Amino acid sequence: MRKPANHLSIDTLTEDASLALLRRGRAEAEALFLSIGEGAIVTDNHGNISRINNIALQLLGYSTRELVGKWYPEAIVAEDESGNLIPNMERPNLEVFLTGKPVFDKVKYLRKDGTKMSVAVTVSPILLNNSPIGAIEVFRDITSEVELENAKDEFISIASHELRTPATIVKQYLSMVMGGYAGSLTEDQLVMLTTAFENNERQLNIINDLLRVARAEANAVKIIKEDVDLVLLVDEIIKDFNDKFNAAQQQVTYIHNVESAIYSADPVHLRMVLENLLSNANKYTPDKGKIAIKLTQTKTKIKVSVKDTGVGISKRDIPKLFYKFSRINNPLTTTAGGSGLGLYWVKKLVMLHGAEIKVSSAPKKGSTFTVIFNRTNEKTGSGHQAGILNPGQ
Amino acid sequence: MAQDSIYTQAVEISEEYLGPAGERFLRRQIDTHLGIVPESLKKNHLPKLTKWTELAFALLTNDYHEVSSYTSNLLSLGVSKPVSDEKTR
Repeated sequence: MRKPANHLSIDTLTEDASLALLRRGRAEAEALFLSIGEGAIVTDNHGNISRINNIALQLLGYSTRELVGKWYPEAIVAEDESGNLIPNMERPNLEVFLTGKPVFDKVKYLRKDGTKMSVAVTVSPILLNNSPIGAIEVFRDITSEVELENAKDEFISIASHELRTPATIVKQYLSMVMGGYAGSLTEDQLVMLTTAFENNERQLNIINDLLRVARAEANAVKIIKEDVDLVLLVDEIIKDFNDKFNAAQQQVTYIHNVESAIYSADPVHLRMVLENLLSNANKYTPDKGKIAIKLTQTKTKIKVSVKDTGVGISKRDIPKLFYKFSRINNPLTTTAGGSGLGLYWVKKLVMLHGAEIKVSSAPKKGSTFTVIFNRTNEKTGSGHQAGILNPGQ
Repeated sequence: MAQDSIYTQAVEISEEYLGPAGERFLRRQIDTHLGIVPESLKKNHLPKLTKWTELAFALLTNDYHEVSSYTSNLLSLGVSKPVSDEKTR
């Protein structure tokens, strides 16, 4: 049995050890916070700034005294890309408590001197025993990156416009010569002019791709929606591609589980999406390969998938597919041509329709591209009436 | 007369403080933090829910009394009230 004195000393020692551990933990946390190479702001349970590191102070142009203890939404003013104030309800620091997960965003912060900087922000909740007690935000200045990206987009836009005019004139004159407006042609001359015409056409397609991307980057793509029957649209596009499929002796099948699938979309842009997927399937599937197109409608979604037995894509390359100017190395890349903008454009358009695109693929086994349209607030086809779903669900 | 569900009452309280955004504000947090269908909200869920709503609401207003009042009102839901003279027959 322990003596009371010993008992007390053990308790005291435990308390000391706990305190030492606590102090050590705090010192480590302090060192960690101060050594973060980006701006860091901690907010407490009242939404007030409780800590801020030197990098954040330098970036924002304030002193510690000017920010610590201040209510975060008032102290750190955020704007969107267009220069509009972001409502508190939409700021990442609030979103983090609505989702309970780290939130990433790109916004503009107003410095003390009134200038603005683009920042990439990550906010995480601070949890104690699974309960939130505040949030920590880490941000970095991406103004130069954003400016560079904008300059690049502007260059693409201007260059494309300047390139399109002469290329279009070349096309017109080639057509006239090939049409016999400058006299009759020999067979050799016609073959050479046809090659020139086809390559000019290819050049124009690339220029048009560039222009489309420039418009997308400038958020200048307008989606004008109307009811589109996806079953019919896919059928029309397959018919348009028949010559190309036949030339490659590719076996094409199309199955759909409904007679019509009505979706509110921009028919011109939606056609571009599906044409691009079919064109890729045609280009990247060797001769005599198989292409299976499938449309499935459920209560909540319409899925259109294009599956091929083509060259396929490695797991490592799949994320690159939707980047601008990305070209995946495979045996058909060179012969297939293209600007590396097609799938980037497809993804932009799919997102503008509130849909998503998924890819599954393996080298030499083929690829499946699936566009998934959410039927929230959509009418069903085939005369069936589905309930209108709440957008929040 | 049957009493409104805890969820309906919580929405009413949220809308008092947040206007029409109240339901979405509440619904997202019930969905995320409790992982339940909002309509099945029960009294025992409220302590955990209010810990999150309190911090989120504190970023919408810097009036802490307002935040505190919202949280208390949510927490008081589901507490039995005296039976009124309008009994269910």
